[in-house]
Amino acid sequence: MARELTLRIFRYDPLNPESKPCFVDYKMEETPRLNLFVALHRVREKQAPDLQFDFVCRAGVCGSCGMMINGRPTLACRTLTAELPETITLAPMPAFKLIGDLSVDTGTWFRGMSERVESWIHTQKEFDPKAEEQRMDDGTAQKIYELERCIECGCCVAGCATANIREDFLGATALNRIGRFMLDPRDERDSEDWFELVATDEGVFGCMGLMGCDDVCPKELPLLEVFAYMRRRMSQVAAGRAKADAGTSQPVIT
Amino acid sequence: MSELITTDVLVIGAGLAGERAAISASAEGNEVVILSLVPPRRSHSCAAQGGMQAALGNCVKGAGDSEELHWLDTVKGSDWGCDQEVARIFADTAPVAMREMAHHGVPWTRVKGGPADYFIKGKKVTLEEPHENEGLIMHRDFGGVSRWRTCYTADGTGHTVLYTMDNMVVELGIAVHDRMEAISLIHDAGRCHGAVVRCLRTGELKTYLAKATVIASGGFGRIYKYSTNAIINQGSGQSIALDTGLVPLGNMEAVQFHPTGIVPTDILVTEGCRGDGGLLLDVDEYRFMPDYEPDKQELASRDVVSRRMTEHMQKGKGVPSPDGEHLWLDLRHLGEDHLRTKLREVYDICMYFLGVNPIKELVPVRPTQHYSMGGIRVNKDGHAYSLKGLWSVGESACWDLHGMNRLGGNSLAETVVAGMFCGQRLGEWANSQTLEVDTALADIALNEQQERINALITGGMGEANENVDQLLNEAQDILQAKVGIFRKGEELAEAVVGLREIYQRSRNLKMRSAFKGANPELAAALRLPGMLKLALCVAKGALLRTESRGGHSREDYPKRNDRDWLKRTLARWPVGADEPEISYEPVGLLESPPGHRGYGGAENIAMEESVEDYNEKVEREWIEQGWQETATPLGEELKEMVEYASTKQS
Amino acid sequence: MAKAGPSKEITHHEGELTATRDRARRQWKLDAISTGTGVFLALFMWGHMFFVSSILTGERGFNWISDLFEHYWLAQPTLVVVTIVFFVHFVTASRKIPAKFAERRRVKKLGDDISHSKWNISKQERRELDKVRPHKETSLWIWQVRSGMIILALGSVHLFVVIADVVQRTFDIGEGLGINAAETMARVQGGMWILYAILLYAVEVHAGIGLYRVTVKWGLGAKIPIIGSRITRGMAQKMERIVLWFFLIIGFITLLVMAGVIDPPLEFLLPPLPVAS
Ligand SMILES: Cc1cc2nc3c(=O)[nH]c(=O)nc-3n(C[C@H](O)[C@H](O)[C@H](O)COP(=O)(O)OP(=O)(O)OC[C@H]3O[C@@H](n4cnc5c(N)ncnc54)[C@H](O)[C@@H]3O)c2cc1C
Ligand code: HEM
Ligand code: SF4
Ligand code: SF4
Ligand code: FES
Repeated sequence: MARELTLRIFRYDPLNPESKPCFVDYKMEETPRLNLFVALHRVREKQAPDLQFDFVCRAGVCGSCGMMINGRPTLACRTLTAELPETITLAPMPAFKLIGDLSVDTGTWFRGMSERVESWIHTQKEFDPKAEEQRMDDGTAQKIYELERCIECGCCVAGCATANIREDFLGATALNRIGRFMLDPRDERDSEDWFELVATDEGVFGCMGLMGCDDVCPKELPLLEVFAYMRRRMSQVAAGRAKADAGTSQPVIT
Repeated sequence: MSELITTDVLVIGAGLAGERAAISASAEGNEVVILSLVPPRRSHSCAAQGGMQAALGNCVKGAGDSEELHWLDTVKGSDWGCDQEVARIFADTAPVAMREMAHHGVPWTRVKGGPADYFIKGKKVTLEEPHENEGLIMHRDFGGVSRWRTCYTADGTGHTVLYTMDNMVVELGIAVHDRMEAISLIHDAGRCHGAVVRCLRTGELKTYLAKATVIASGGFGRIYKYSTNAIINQGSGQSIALDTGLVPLGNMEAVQFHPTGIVPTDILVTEGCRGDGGLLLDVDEYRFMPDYEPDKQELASRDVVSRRMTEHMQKGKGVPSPDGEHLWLDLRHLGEDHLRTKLREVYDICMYFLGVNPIKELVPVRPTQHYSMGGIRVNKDGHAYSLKGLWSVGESACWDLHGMNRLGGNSLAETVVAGMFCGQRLGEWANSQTLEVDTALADIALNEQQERINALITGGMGEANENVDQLLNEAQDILQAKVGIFRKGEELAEAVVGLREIYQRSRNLKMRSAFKGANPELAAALRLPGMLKLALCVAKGALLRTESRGGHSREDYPKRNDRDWLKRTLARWPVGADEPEISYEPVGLLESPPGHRGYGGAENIAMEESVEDYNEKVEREWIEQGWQETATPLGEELKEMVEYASTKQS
Repeated sequence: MAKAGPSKEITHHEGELTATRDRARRQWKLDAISTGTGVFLALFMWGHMFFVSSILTGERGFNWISDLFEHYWLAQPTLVVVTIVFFVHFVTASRKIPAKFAERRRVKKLGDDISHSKWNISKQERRELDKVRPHKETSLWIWQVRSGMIILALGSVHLFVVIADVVQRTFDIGEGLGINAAETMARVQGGMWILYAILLYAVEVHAGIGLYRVTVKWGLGAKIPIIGSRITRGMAQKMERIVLWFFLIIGFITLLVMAGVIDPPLEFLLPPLPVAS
């Protein structure tokens, strides 16, 4: 027998003074292989045409659809209803500005994050269109890619106690981004530059190490390893024992 | 009074093409603002996994590669429907573009010298990778190419390139206004001045005025019922260009289908499944492909397999499901090891999205719309026909290096190359212009949109008896069933009639919700007419093109016809009309005259006029169609053309 | 427009640059101190546990060791240092505890929600994908804070008593006999066992979790010398469990001996007492 599902959805339109935050129940029959992308569109098509939520790729790669599913921040498009009990509670991710219902403004947050950690290769070199590309060991490229896989879904921020209570906390995704550039031999920032960026209470030393981020990251990034690596390396810097900088050090994020 | 924003260059779309163009335009000294429906890194460019083509020739199977070969593969792939000069620009610039992305941080997979194992045509082979190329960008194989030239980052090429591109945008401080949808262009006397934009956070309208407006809004796959495209790929960029009544869309009938999208959700699973021995089964779990294609079976080309699958489902052999009919992909016999290593991505998609374990269960699949070759017709600089100051790059444009069929890996490369090349041209052009801030014009354009919205929110338009989702579903059904992979004259004619009727009905929309803010139903209602227009352009273009070329296959006209159809379809939508007006232009200067592709096997009707005569008329007929003057003369990039053509003649 | 995420202006004026660097250095130092003192205390507690568990060999063994420590002036400086470290640790470590009740509640709720209680993960395959990873660390941390508070209260009492004893004996004032089996056992049997049982449990839990967290926070992914493999979270978890149970068991047997519930089980290890003539 197909189950009857109850989608208990957070509804609130912050722009409408009459609207009050509340949960509304929507019932539907479960069909085989139903996922929350399809389920939410059915709600919108049949029951609540003005329901706000965000999907783009609906394939688990763009990071748009992070929401709290029974309290756990994760990607809705890759969540099958079969994995959930009959009552499914959906709420927007905390720590981001609410746009309406399940939709939150991750875009502005992440742009701010990129600006704050200066998420780009810092180099004095000019691009020379005639020259062959700078060579890179494939192993290094793979390690960078491992951290570059972050899809900016924001789940690690929503699931982070520190980010939930401190607005200025960088968040796991930002620390991971910094780790990605630390690994990159093309980036010429030195230990002192990194130190100033991460060795603070908004950075890795503000992280309580609760590992919510690592446990919810849908891309299973090795976030804790990145943090541990940063703590070690920053301590070396503080102790004046930092090894050579800018790419010549090949760190051990596995 | 609503907000008015001015800038030198307005880019609509923050995918790879839009961002790259913005970077070039900004390098030319322009102030640039980018608009996007979603945060830039969520644009659909991030979903491309495979890779992008550039003739670097670093690995052993890429040895001896050249821009010339890349160009030739592209021309063949397009079934000679492309603009060969643009294909030249593309092939010549692609290597620089890849290296530039490497410079800015893309962690390309690199060459590892020494022996390496590959699966080629189902067999394991060991090849020796050249040590002297250690650490250069690696390549993988793709369909329709003579060398391995696809640059990639593991299984996340689009993602890493887009992230790097957006990093560059952040570094340069280029403003990106996300959750902003351009809903109409502001234009006057053949000159584009910017766009009316709706904020998807608040529902407010704003006007943006700029010297140059660039549409880089990606594909329009979502007019089809089943598409591998992101759900935002609804073609709103193309439709606002069409709405001007001036700008033509090129080759809209050229649509690419991929055989294996999963059901539901239509996510792409790679061709590698069948390459490695996966089988297609029907409702009786019977393997049907050998009956149709005794020779190649499951491994015939993309379009052929898609056609056969459709045919078989039409015979009632599809598997019914609440999400529509489908067939099965059987991977069980490949074994756990293979599925969890070589086809890891496929395994994950099945597990996460379907809850189906491909080691033990069948995977539901069906042919799915994948790419739109057609789009806003532009010249080689990216300047749109018939409307000065409007530009377009990326999948939304018909720059036309793909002709009637694009090769895998060429579209991602196109976005970056076109962004680079056209971005520079439009940046230079914008420098020669002065910004006219005509607030009266902006107000008129804005009010027109505001009235549409007001009508929708208060009671509905016209007779107010039509529902947005319903109309869109009906249109998608028609398109899917009748303008799909296999096309027949009478079905296409029915489709045109059906779609036109739906388009007329869309004048009587009524919404079920009434709130003014970021109401998704309102957004859909505003997009709907545009989507229907695009659907009609596709259907009508397909109906009139009585030949089979590339992605367009007519059952009733199975031959490629170079005598009558070495042409590009141009669709314009006169203001107030119910269907597009179709005209034609030559595909472009021919350096390589039409020939055999070396695959596909269809028969051709040969060209009758000489290549010289054909080339002669190109510029004249293009100008008639609204082609704008380019920075360099037509044919400039085809340096060898004269010699090449004459050697072919003799 | 919308709230700009964690965004803050990054400035590059010379003066401010050194200011941010100094700030970073201060914040690094505080974190390093809380960890360093925690590790120090944990190691100390284990050593302490070994010495206290000398009671397992009977009163003689216990007194022998404590006399030794006091006689050679080992106990006294240790006491001073530990007391200071104890409070330094308390001050630096509790920086991390959210100040507001609502925030503490938020942390707990989030941790509970993230743990997989409300998901079905019955399907084996799904689990293989590691889709819903169990999450324990939040509640571990909450227990660390709670046990820390207990240690602060009870440990202060204990420290006070011991310091008083040692000071009295060393300077020969009052009645204190220093650390002495008979007195300790009398105290334990006189009702202090409740305090010690709770303190023992709290300390072992706190130190176990603390070291696990230190391993994960600082060591994850680092190569272990000699063995050569890299530290993983699973490894750290296993280690934490083993260490925790080891010391808990020793600790409770010790306490039972002190309470006089069982006889010292290891008495045979010492040379027999010369038979009284
Ligand atoms: C599943 C899949 C896999 C693919 N794999 C490959 C591959 O391996 N290799 C390859 O070469 N190609 C591949 N492609 C094709 C390729 O990804 C696309 O053609 C390319 O990414 C298009 O880039 P773009 O910049 O033109 O548009 P997009 O990346 O689609 O960006 C469009 C942008 O326009 C914005 N926009 C749209 N409308 C509006 C509006 N009205 N107002 C404001 N903003 C608007 C959007 O928000 C978005 O930012 C694949 C496609 C799919 C669907
Ligand atoms: C014998 C006494 C103690 C021992 C052995 C001990 C040990 C430890 C250790 C090893 C850590 C891990 C540090 C880290 O995670 O960075 C720690 C953290 C902590 N300790 Fe203690 N501690 C003791 C006493 C106390 C006391 C009295 C308190 C008082 C509240 C306390 C509160 C904390 C807190 C809150 C943390 C978490 C800090 C963080 O997350 O960084 N501890 N302790
Ligand atoms: S480990 Fe740090 S970043 Fe991750 S959830 Fe915990 S506090 Fe947040
Ligand atoms: S680190 Fe993981 S959870 Fe955080 S934003 Fe990136 S992908 Fe999402
Ligand atoms: S919609 Fe893109 S990740 Fe879910």
